[in-house]
Order: sequence, then structure tokens, then C-alpha cells
Amino acid sequence: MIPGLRRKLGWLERGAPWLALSAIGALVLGAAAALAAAGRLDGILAGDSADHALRGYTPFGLFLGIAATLLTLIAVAYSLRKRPLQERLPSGRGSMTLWLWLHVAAGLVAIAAVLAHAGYGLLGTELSTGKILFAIFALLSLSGVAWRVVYQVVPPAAAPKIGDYSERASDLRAEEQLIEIEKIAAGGSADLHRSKTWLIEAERSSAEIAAALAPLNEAEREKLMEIQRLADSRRRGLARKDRKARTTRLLQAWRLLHIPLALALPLALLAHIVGALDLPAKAFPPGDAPFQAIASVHPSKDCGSCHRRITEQWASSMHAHALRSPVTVAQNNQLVAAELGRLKSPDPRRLCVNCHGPLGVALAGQSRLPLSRAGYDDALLNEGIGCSTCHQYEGESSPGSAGLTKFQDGFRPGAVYRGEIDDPVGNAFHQSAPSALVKRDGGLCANCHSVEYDVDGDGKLVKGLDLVLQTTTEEFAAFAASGGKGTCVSCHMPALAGATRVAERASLVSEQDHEAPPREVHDHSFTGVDYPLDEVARKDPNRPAREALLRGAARLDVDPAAMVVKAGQLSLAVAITNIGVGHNLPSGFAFARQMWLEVRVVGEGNRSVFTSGVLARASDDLCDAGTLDDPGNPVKAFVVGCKASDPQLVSFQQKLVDHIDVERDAAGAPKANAAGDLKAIAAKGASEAWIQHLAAGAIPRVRPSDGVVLAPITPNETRTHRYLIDVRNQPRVNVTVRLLFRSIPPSMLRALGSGQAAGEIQLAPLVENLQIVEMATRTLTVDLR
Amino acid sequence: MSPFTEQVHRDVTACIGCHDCLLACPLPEASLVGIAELNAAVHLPVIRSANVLRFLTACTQCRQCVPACPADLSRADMVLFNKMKVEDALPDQPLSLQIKREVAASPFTLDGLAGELGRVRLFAGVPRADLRRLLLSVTLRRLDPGEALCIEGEFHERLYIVLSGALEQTAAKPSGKDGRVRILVLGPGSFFGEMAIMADQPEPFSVTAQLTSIVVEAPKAAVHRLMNAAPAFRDTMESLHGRRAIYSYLEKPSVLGSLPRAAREELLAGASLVPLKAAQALFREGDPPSDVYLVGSGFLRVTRRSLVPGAADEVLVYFREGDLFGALSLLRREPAQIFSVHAVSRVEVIRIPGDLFRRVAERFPEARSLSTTTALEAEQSARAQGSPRARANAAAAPALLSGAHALSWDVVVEKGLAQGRELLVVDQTRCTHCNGCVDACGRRHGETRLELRGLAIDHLLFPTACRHCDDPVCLLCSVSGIVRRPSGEIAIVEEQCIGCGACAERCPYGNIRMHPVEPPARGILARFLDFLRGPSAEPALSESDPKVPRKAVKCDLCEGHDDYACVTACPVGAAFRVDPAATFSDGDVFAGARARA
Repeated sequence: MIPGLRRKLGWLERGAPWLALSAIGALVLGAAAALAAAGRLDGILAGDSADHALRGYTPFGLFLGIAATLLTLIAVAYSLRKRPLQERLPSGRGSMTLWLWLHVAAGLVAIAAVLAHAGYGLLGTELSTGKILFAIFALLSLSGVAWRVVYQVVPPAAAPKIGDYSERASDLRAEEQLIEIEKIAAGGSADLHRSKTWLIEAERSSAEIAAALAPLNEAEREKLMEIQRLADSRRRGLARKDRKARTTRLLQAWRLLHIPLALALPLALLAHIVGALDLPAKAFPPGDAPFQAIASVHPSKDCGSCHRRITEQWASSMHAHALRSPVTVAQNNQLVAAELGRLKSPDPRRLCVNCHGPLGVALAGQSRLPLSRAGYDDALLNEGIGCSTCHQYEGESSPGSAGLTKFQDGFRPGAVYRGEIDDPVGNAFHQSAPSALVKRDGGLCANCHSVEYDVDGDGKLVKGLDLVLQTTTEEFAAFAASGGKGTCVSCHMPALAGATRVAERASLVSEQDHEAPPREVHDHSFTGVDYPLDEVARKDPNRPAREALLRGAARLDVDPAAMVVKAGQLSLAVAITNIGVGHNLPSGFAFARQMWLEVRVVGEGNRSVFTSGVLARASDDLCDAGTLDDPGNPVKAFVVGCKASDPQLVSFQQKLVDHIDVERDAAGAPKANAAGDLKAIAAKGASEAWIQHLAAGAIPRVRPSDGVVLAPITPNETRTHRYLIDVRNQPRVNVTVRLLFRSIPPSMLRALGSGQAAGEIQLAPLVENLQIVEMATRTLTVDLR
Repeated sequence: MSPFTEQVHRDVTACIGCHDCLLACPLPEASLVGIAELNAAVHLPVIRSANVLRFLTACTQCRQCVPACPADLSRADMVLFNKMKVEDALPDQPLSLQIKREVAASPFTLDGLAGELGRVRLFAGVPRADLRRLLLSVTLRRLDPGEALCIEGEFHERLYIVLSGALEQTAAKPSGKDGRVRILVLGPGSFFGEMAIMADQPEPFSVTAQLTSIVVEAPKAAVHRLMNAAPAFRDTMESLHGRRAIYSYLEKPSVLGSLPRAAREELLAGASLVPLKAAQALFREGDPPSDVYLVGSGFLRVTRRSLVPGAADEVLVYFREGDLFGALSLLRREPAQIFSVHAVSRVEVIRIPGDLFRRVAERFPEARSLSTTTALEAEQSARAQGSPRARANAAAAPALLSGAHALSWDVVVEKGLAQGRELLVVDQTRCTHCNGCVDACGRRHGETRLELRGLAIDHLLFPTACRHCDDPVCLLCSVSGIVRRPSGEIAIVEEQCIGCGACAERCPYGNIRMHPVEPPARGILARFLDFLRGPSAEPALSESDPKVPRKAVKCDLCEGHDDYACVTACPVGAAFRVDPAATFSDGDVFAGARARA
């Protein structure tokens, strides 16, 4: 007996060194990943402070991903070495035993690299290319490992039962034995033939065989014994064949899993690389992707699963209504129809919509509202200023730039969302990065909250010569320069008391890697003076905040000491102070903002002695002389609630004229004042307008009674206006002065409504939803005796 | 009328004209002749039909036709009879001379050279016609001084006859020293190579030309044919081979090296060569000891009757090449042999008569030291196992394995594995049945030469891959389609193989496979035309159809490669190669380390 006849395997043909090597490799990779995630490898990796998540997109995560891919390629080399390279490899052919262990070791280390690469990414519930790839890879590895174990266990157990293990050989032998049996039985009696068939059919007991032998003569008995021996041998051979087939099936079953998975792996890997590196977003700038699925853009409602509070606040904000507001739709579409639509370039054709929905416009490439494009979701296109607009913007900030397509160049859809947090925690949905622009308070706001266009293309923006409709950013800059405190965010996005989690709905580990340090969460309802006119009657969650903002904006003073009564005329001085709002009052589109003084003087018997700026209904218009007494003013037709103009009306609503110019000298050249500034005036023949033509501009109204110019009140400025009230025969009067605010004049709504296209929400009825907010009030009793 | 002519005439008369022999013939020329033409030609003094002449010339005497005959006649002999007539008709045919790789005209004609050979002692008594037939298949080779004809240890399977010049036989010095020992100088009329022809052994000496010489190089098949035709030649060859074999076997230092030269020469003079067929008995237990035996080649089984009545004999040991036995019982003057000796394979034994041995032993005291010679170890082992005490111990010990073959020396011998030189072994406790070895063989050689079936011993499978036997029975190819390379490997010569399948039939291990010849690949245009013509009305031949042209394929040990494809391809280290002669020699662990893996 010679035991131990085996192939003597070389050192590298054995499993132990390879398994040890894989264990060491796996440990090293795992430990390095843990250190990198803890920020301990920053010195080596020169890592960014933001890239510490245990995730595939960090620098070390990418390294691990590449390492896993290379290890997989090494594993695939086994298959190549086995097949096409068998005869072509010039050197280093080794034996397949070595290659198999190399394959196993590479596969095992690749699993470790993949696990370290994916990190928390594996724990989320969100389906991703990474998870699909991992599932395939895990099954692939599992089938390999499982069958490596099967190979260790099954062959030694099966070997003694298999013998000569070619199925074909067993078949051939069975066939030969059958022929042998037929030869023996040839020429025999019918009994012999019957017994022969009977013996071939199945194994028989010795008693049965004895019974079968009985009717035969001596010679045939011997023949039958021989037949029985052959039949048994044949049966054993066939049983061996079945055993061999079963063993082979078991040993080779892995092919059913391993090979199809190995073929699916490169496809999944490709999909993962394309997805993880945001290649579609990089390959297709917004609008170039033929359909939404590859455009890497996500509607803001998707963010609500984790950032619910912020998303809900946003949904109620005017940012969410920027493209859907009926006023915007009407104004934009009428302007496009009247004027912008004829312009060739998108700039300034999309001047309005570029700011109202930069992402939607970039994707849809349209000027008219609502936006739509085949292959894209209308809700996404028309969501206005969504999450992506601010948090996926990487460009520079310059006042007014968003009205032009410049903004969209800085727009970076994809997996990365940017914010003010320097040490973001990884999550299952997006990558996070700090954005200098977001951190600079108001940096992002500047892009839109100035509406200017260099009409003459001289590189300078001069009101009167260029389109200058809104200057909030400049107003704030001047305020800040003169020592003003506060930022856009401090008033319009105040920190939320008690909120410490930005993604308050994200469940830990499955959606967010781990607890984040307490954060300052800012209000995303962007409280301002506007509200969705079409919705406000149903729900208006921001009304208290809106009114509080307005109430804190101005102070109203009526100085009793300054009151003079002369010739029956009471001279009432009303002072309005912009108490530290970072911009003018009113600001924004100041030609559409009505801030005015309502003065009621009530005499004896509660009889009205004097009124100015008093409206019978909230949907009534102010009886502005500049409109009512202006012959041929087209707005006049839409004014409701006025019998005559109000000569002492103090209204800071600017007047939008369809054509603006600067004051010129006799020769027609612009005439500068002492400071070198040009003065914007209505061009000759210009008339009041309700849409913002390219040549349009806003000029202050002039109070007819005293010729005072009613320009917006700059920060910290106090403006005093005097009312002359006939108080003859009155012993005492009660004076009530209120500073009121309405976000849009009803006449403008009615005027826009008159030009609306079918299908748009009708503006005229919405005047009923207008709210008048009391910013400040003063009441006093004047004793005239 | 010679017995051969008589037999052929009888066969022609008995022929039923069924044509089956011609259907079985692998030659394309077989389709040109009819059975009636061939039969008629037997009776013709001169054959003139061009078809018949072409067929007769092409016939290689592969004898594929013989088993096809339903009347049990030998078509091969009938054709040979006709062939001889054709060959005899060309006595003036000039012979060509091989000079290195060039072929030139020689000064000899067929008949002229046959006359000269007739004068060589080796061919004494051989009819000139038979010599002419031999010369039809020989090569005349001219050697320049210093040119080597054959190298010690190579297999050449040729009989060489020196016509002119002188050649020198040399051997390496024993114990691996530098330099060579001159054995003989061979002059005109000398011959050598009979060991290669008779015993398939490698050439024992290197042969180099001293002068410009011309030698006749006769291939094994032709020599065997001549031995069959000419009994005188057969006798000469056999006695010659016997003498030389005895000389070379006895001269081995391990055997009788301790005896003085005079004693050895005396023993040699009295020794004779005894060829044994497989299973033939040399002597039986109980016979009186008569002679001393030395195993020249092959294996002998040593058995003793079981103590249990009716049980099979117990195998004690195996005698193999170099073992000396019978001497101890003679020296100890035992009354009867204590074991039986049977041949397992084809065996050559040298017998030294007992009286001679005793006489020599008495005269030379050195003979006593014979009992310590290594050649006697096997017999001593048999004797030790055969002792009553040893047998009692063995009976008490439980059987190691029942049913399955234990891999031990006896199985290796009994199953013929010891015949192999580079055995492929598959360890079934490691094999995962991935078929990688079979596929790798196919990728390397075009079609696989390996099938995972064969002898299974214990957990080891010895698949049907060529064993490159020491004593290859496959080599009797009449067209040299299968040859032994000088290194000892058996290889198919693809260009010469006619696909007769004779070698495949002869291989006792079923290791030569007949593989259908791939039809030449058709060009794009031809394939397009085939497509236009639609499916052929003639059904394609199935692989098992005997009409499909075939060629023999077998393992050639990956000749020309530096590894074995099957062994390299095994991903789990189950396949390896072993040289049984080297690994089994001590009867101990047969370690894969010694395999060329």
C-alpha cells in the first residue's frame, strides 16, 4: 500500500499562504478605510475636511473602488489564462492551481475593498447602481467561496464511490455487458430468455434467483448465473455513472451562478461608474439630456423625505411659486408676446423666467410659461427656485446675472449638494460639500434680487439708459457699506429656534451615516412681502411672519408739537422712518409695491373731516393723481374705487413707464447733476405701464399738493410729509395715521388680466385676495381751541 | 509450392467476393480495384492492370481488411502475394543514398545490394527475393567521419548493417565519469540494433562513423516482415539477440559484478535466454531447484499457496529487471522451491544452469558474497514473507483494504502501470470534474487526446492518456505513422498516419483514439454558394460512421512544450505525472515531487 500519492504542491499552489495574504490585505484595507473616515490619514491623502464619510466618493473611497476593480480584473485574468491565454502567454504561465488561488485571493481582497469602499452606502434602503453592483459582486464572491468549500469537501467524500468516472465509459461498458449477456443467452430456452430480461430489469434476491434457476437444465443454470453476475456488474456500473453525474452536477453548479454573474458584473460596474461619477450630469449640461432620467436633476419634493421641515417651508414660499404665480405667468407671457419673443438670443428673451426658474428654463429652453418639454416632468420644470437652484450652484455671484443665461453656466446638477456645513455627514441620497457662496450671507440672493439689463451694451448700468427695475442688492450693499448690520438671511431666513437637525427625518444609519453635530437650521419660507395670490385664500401659513416683517420695517411719527393751525388749516407732519431694513422701502419691483399713508381726521360727531389714502375695500385702488389726472394714461381704465384723485396722497409706489430716459440738455445730451449722476425721467410721450418693457423704468411719483417727490425711503432715512387739513368749526379732531402696505395694486392685476391668454388663472378676480397690512399706526386727538 | 502460396491459393478459392475487405481498407486506392481483379491477379504470372498495380504498391499491410472478412480469410496475405510479384519484377531498380538531409543516387541496384547483403552472416540462408523486399523499405545512409548514427539511450528501432567504412561503438564510462569507453569498431558486414528490433530497447551504445561509411538502415516493421518470411533469418536474429541480451544483462555491475571476469565469462557461456509470455510459469512451488535466473525485462509474480485451503495464492513479491533469483535455494541445497514464479508481462529471463552455477561457486570463493548483492534483495524479501512465522503474522493482521485496489507495487505491476514512463494520474480526492485538463489538451492540440476514464485504483485515476510504455505494442505500424521518438515518447506522425486504426486496436489501454479528420475549411465564396444551394441532399457523415476519414491521436507528452497542458491546467492540483520506474522502485511512497509537474 502506498499512501499519500499526491501531487506535491508548490508553496504558491497551496491555499494557506493565499488565504493569509487575503486576510492581511482585507485587514489593511479595512483599517485604512476606518482611519481615513476618522480623518487620521489627511496628512497622507491631503484630504479635504469635507471628505471624511466612510463612502465611495471620498478620495480614499475612490481609491478603494479602483482597487476593487483592479483586483477583480486580476481575478478575471484566471479565466483568460485558462482559455485564450493558455497557449499565448509567453512567460509566467505558472500552473492553474496557482492561478486559482490568485483568483480566490484577489476576489477575497476585492470583497474587503468593496465593503470598505461602499461603507455606510450599503446600509441605505435607496436602490442605487452601487447596491446593484454590490449585490452581483456579493453573489459572485459567495458562489466562489461556497464552491471553494464544496471543492474541499465533496471530492474526497465522492472519490471512493466514483471509480472509473467517465459517464461515457460506464455507458460503453454497460452496452458491452448487455451484448455479452445476449451472447450467453443466444440459443437458450424461452425460460432462459425470460429470466435474462427479468435479471436485467432489477436486482433480485437469492431466493427469487433460486426459483428462476429451477426450471433450467444444468448448462442453462450456469449461463443464468453468469448472466446474473454480468447484470449485477452492469447495474453497479450504471449506478456509478449516476453517482458520477450527480457529483459532477454538484461540483459544477457554481457555473450557473458564477459565470452569468461574472458576465453581468462589468455591465453593473459600468453603470455604477457612470452613476457614481455623475457622468450624465457632466456629459449633458442642463437641457442637453434628451430625457429627465439621465439629466441628474431631482424635483425638490424628493428632498422632503429627509429635509421635511425645510421642504415644507419652501413649498409655501414664493420661491416655490416663482414660476406658477399667475401674475408671473401673465406678465411674462404678455411681455414675451409683446416684445421679448421677437428677440433672437435667449438673453434677454428669458429675462423674467431665467430668474423665476433657472433650472426649469435651462431644461426646457423656453420663454413662455408654463414650461414643458417631452421627456421631462412638468412639475419639475415649473417648480421655480427649487432646492437644486441654490444648492447645486457652483458659479460666481454677481447682481442681476441670473436674469441672463450666465447663471446656468454655474449650475451643476448631479449627486453633490452644497450648503454652509463644513463637516457634512454622509447620507444615502447625495454627497454634500461646503459652498463658499452659500456661506457668504446673501451671496446667492444677489443673482436674482437685482433686475438689470445693459440695454445699450456699454458695460454700465444707468437707470434711464438701461433696464434697471430692481436694485435690492445694490441697496443692501450701500446699507452694509454705511455700517448697516444684518444680512439677507438674518431677516428672510432666520435661524429656527430649537431645530438642530437639517435632515430631521433622516433615519440614522439607513439614511444618514451617523449623528451630526447640532446645526443651525434656517427658515426656508423666504418670508417677504409676497404671497401666492391664487392660494392665499385657502392657506396662508406665512401671513404672521410676513406681517411681522412689515411691522418691523418702519416707524411712524406724528409730532404734536409740530402741528400748526393757521387760517383754519391744520398742518400735520407725518414722519416715516425706515428703521434699519437693509434695503429701501419699498424695494424689489417698487413700482408694484404699494406703501402709502392712510390719514383719517374725524371731527365732532364722529364726522369725517379729512381722509387721504383711505380705501373702501381692499380691492380698491389708490386714487393717485399721477394716474388719474394723466390724460391718456392706460392704467386709468383699470382703476376702481376713485371718483377723483387724492391730491395729498403719500404713496411710495413707483410709477412704471413704458419708456424711460434721462434728463437731457437742450442739445439732447444727457445732463448730469453736480455729483455726475444722470436723472432718470419718463421719456417724452411715455405712458404708465403694467409690464416691464425693455425700455421701461420706474420713476417716483410726485405728490400734487406740494410737489414732493415720493422716492422709496432708504435705510434709516426719515421722510416727513405734511398734510393740510381744513379744520374750521372743529373744536377737536381725532387723527389716525396708518402706514399701509399692499403687495400689488389691484389695477395692475386688472390690467394684466385684460391681456391674459386662455388657460391662465384669471387675475382680475384675484384682487379680492389682496391683503393690506398695517405697518404702523398713530392716533392722536388734536384740540383746536 | 510453398505453404504461403498454398494458403493464398486456398483463400482465393474460398473468397465469397463480398467486397467487405475493400470497404474496410483505409487506402483511397481501394476504390479503384474490384475484388475479382485482385483474386484473378493471384493466378497471373505478371500483373499488368494499372489499377491493381497502384493498389498493390500502396498497400501497407496494415491488415485492417483481415477482421472484416466474414469467411475468415486473409486478404492481406493475398495482396502480399501479389505485392511480391510486383516487387520481384523490379530487380534493376536503382537505390538512392541519404547524405545527411540530401538524397543522392547510390551505386547500388535493388538486386545488386540484395546480393551483397546475402553475403552478410546475418542474412545467411535468406532468399534473395526476400532481401529485395526488405531493401524496398530501407534507407541507405552515407556518414562522414565523426558523424553520429545513434546516441546511447535513444530509441531508434532500426537494424543497421555496415556496407563500407568503419563505425565506432562507445559507451559512457560507468559511475558518470567523463570520457567514453570504446566497445567495438564495426567494419563492413557488421550489424547492430537487434536489441531495438527484438526488445524495443534503447540503443545501449553511441555509434559514430570513423571513416566515410555507408550503412543500411532497416526499419523494425520491415525486419519483422523478413523474420516472418525467412525462418533462417528469424533464427539468426533470435540467437543473436539472446547472446547479446545475456551479455549485456550479466555484465551489469549490480548483478555479478563481484565475481571475477573468468567466472562471469564461464557463466555467460552456459547461460540461455528464456522468453516468457504473460502468465506463463517459470517454475512452481515444490519443484526441485535447478537453475539460477536473472530478469532481463518485464515483471514476474512470486506466489505461494495459501494456508487456507481453496483460497487464491498469496503474492509474496514481484521480480523485475535486474533481480536475480534461484541462487539461494541452490546454494543452501534446499530440496524444493518454496514459491512459484509466473510472468506478469512479456518477460525475458536469463537462465544459468544450476550445475554450472554450483561449479563456478565452488571454484570462486567470491560467489559466497553473492548472497549480499542487491540483485538478491527481492528473493530475500520473498523468502522472508514466505517464512512460516511471517505468514502467521500476516494472517493475524486485518486486511488493509477490501474491494478497492490498494495502490501498491503489486497493483502497479498487475495493471500494467509499471509499463508506463510518464503516467498521468488524477487524484480524485481533489478533482472537481471541471474538465479543464481535457479542454486544455484540446486547446493545445486541436482536439483533445485525453478522456477522464481509465483505471481507478484507490482514489487515483489513471486516465486513458498514453503511458509511453517501455514495451509498446502499438508501434507495429507499417507506414511509420506511429513512432517512438529518440527520447522514448510514442508519437503519431500525422502526415504518415493513414487512419487504419491498427495502433488504436493494439493499445491494451485504449489510449489511442481515432479522431475524424476535419474537412478543410471552405472559403467564404464556397460557403456562400453552399448556402445558396441549400441543404445538401447527401447527409453529413456522423462522427461514428466508419466511412469518415480518421487519424490516430494520442498523448505525445506535449512534445515541443515545456509543460504538460493537462497538468498545468488543473486548478486544484489533482492531475500530475509520475514515472513509475523511478517512483515505485523502492516500493515506498510514490511522491509527486518526482513527477515532472
